[in-house]
Amino acid sequence: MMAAVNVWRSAAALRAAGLAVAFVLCALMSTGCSASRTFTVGEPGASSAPLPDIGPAPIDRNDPWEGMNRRVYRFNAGFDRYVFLPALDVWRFILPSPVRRGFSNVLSHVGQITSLVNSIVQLSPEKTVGTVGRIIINSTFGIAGLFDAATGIGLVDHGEDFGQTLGVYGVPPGPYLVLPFMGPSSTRDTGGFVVDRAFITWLQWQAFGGSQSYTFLPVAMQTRDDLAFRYGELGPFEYELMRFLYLEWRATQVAL
Amino acid sequence: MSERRADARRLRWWAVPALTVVLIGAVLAGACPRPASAYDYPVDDGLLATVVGTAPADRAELPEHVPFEVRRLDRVPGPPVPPSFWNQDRVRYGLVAQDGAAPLIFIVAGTGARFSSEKMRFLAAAFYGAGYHVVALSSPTHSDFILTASSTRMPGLAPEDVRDLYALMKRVHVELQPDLEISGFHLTGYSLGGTHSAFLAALDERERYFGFGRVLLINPAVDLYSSVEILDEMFATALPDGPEGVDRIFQRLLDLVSRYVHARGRAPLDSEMLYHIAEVHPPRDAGLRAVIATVFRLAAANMIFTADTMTGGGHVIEAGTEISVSTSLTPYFKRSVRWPFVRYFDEMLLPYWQARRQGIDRDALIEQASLRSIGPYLEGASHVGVVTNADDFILAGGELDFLRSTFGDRAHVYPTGGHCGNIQYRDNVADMLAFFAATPTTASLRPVESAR
Repeated sequence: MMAAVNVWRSAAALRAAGLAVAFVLCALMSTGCSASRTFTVGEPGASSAPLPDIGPAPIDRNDPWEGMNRRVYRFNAGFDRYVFLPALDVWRFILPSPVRRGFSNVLSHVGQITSLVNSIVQLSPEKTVGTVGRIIINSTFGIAGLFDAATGIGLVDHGEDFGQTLGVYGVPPGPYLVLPFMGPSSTRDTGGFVVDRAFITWLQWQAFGGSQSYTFLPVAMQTRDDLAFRYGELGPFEYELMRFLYLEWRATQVAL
Repeated sequence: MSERRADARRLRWWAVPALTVVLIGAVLAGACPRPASAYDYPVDDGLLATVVGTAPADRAELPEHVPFEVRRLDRVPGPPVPPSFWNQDRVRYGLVAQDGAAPLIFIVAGTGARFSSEKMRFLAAAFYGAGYHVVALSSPTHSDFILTASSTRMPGLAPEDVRDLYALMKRVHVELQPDLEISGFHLTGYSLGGTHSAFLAALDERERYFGFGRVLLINPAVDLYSSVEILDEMFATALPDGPEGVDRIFQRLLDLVSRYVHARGRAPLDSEMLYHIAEVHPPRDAGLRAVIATVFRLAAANMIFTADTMTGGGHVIEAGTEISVSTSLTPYFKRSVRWPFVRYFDEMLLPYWQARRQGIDRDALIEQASLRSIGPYLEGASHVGVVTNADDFILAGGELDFLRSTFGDRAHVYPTGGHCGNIQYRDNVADMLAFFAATPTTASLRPVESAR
């Protein structure tokens, strides 16, 4: 048991270190290539009368690290355009749509473990019973999660995570955060994500004696495949709109 | 949970009679086929149609694989582009190419829409399926276009905006010519893109570069100024608190979406979802107006901020302001979103053109941006047709009559569909493709139905 905890600790530490490195890397990259350029509105040397400040508005959010977040957002957009989406084309070319659908279902099926634990911790009998039902039906009729038979009979994937669980117990989202590669988050949800990942990693060590990290790439590809979002479609205020939508979306999820 | 069980119980007692009625209806429909002209687009409310569009089962069938490519061209000369995220170094457009020789159709997007929007991809797929090369272009009112393809960086005066579009279309043609066998040119556009298509047809009549075989205006604005007045009015009445109310609209929408996802599990966030949500929670008129007005207001905010940033007018962002990747744009969003279209017209567009054209006044500018200014040309242009809906709310009083009298049998008015809600409906797509397939001598749309 002690050994397992140590192993888990080192795995979690490794991930945390990886995340930190990614953070620094991407901050450096975005600084290096573009932040040195500033754009000045209007003709050189022009200035115009100061405009009145609008008071507080719903689009304002708790975002003390906005400068950093914007750099990471831009890095993510570049990564998406030049790495992720081209790779996704290859992914879609190799795997026919039914295969990707099945894989997506399996990912959702595996994700029920965290959903179940969080439902229990939230003391929600409805979510807990529903998730147990999903696991049983999709493991059997769904052939180990390949098909999603449970949704058809009303047992849907609630996708409960630890960020939501913290929210249910009254933890506010805290400052907004844009994570490298992963996008919009909050301080609370990032903490929740780390806890969920650590739990899964611990489970994998218990079950297989290893952290199954080779699944990382296909999981990332399929997760991106399931998202219709494209950077740059929402115009100049995309950062503001995404921040607003993310935080509102999470608030609603917590309330449900 | 208990609510859902109650629903199921309620379902039980009326399910049998309901099913019987449906079955009898289906049998009767099979026994006595409806007249060919019957139009069955299922959403009767124009506002609802505008928001939810067409249910997947009622959409025209599209080819399985559509090779939609994003192509790039150098941007037109001008001031540099701000290094925030929306750094648009080049003009982007969509291309779907056939293998062999085919006619090429240009599609112009509606207000604030990019070439890659859902409607644009749908139209591109439909035309590709019918054997056309397709080029999809962003609206001159979209920030991409203002940053990369506009010579004025101040969109809104249609006859001027189409000069930029026309120049871009010529460059696209030059770029594609070596690789594509092009057997002719066609043109279409929806909403503001429909209005642009009419002005482009008139411009091409003078310049004679393309010689369009067919031009179809889909739900065009007739008089741009009166259409934006309608949208401003809609925003003012549906959201009396101004932009603060937008917050509540978003929250309500997100709440519905979350509940939908909660009830249905992982679901793609697309227009199909909106359709299902509307089925479960029939929205009220006021809510629909608020959603439509908000979408147009966001498009206006994008346009106003981008135009002001690029021209340095100091309206929503002070001239001399420095913008870097990490600069917060939130203060400028808050200012921009408070501007109705009409304020943009009066305080930015009008002064811009008054400074460049001696003695032009407000009414003259409004007149120039209206299809009425090219009415005589459109009346005689046998290759230009129009489709719109009797309940399209962007048309002011008398504008439907203007379209009918100007285009005659080249106008087709569907009884329902709202503003562009029925674009994806199978009958609309069939009519649209038939219009482009017709030979020059039979260039007419189906006869105008008497309004239901």
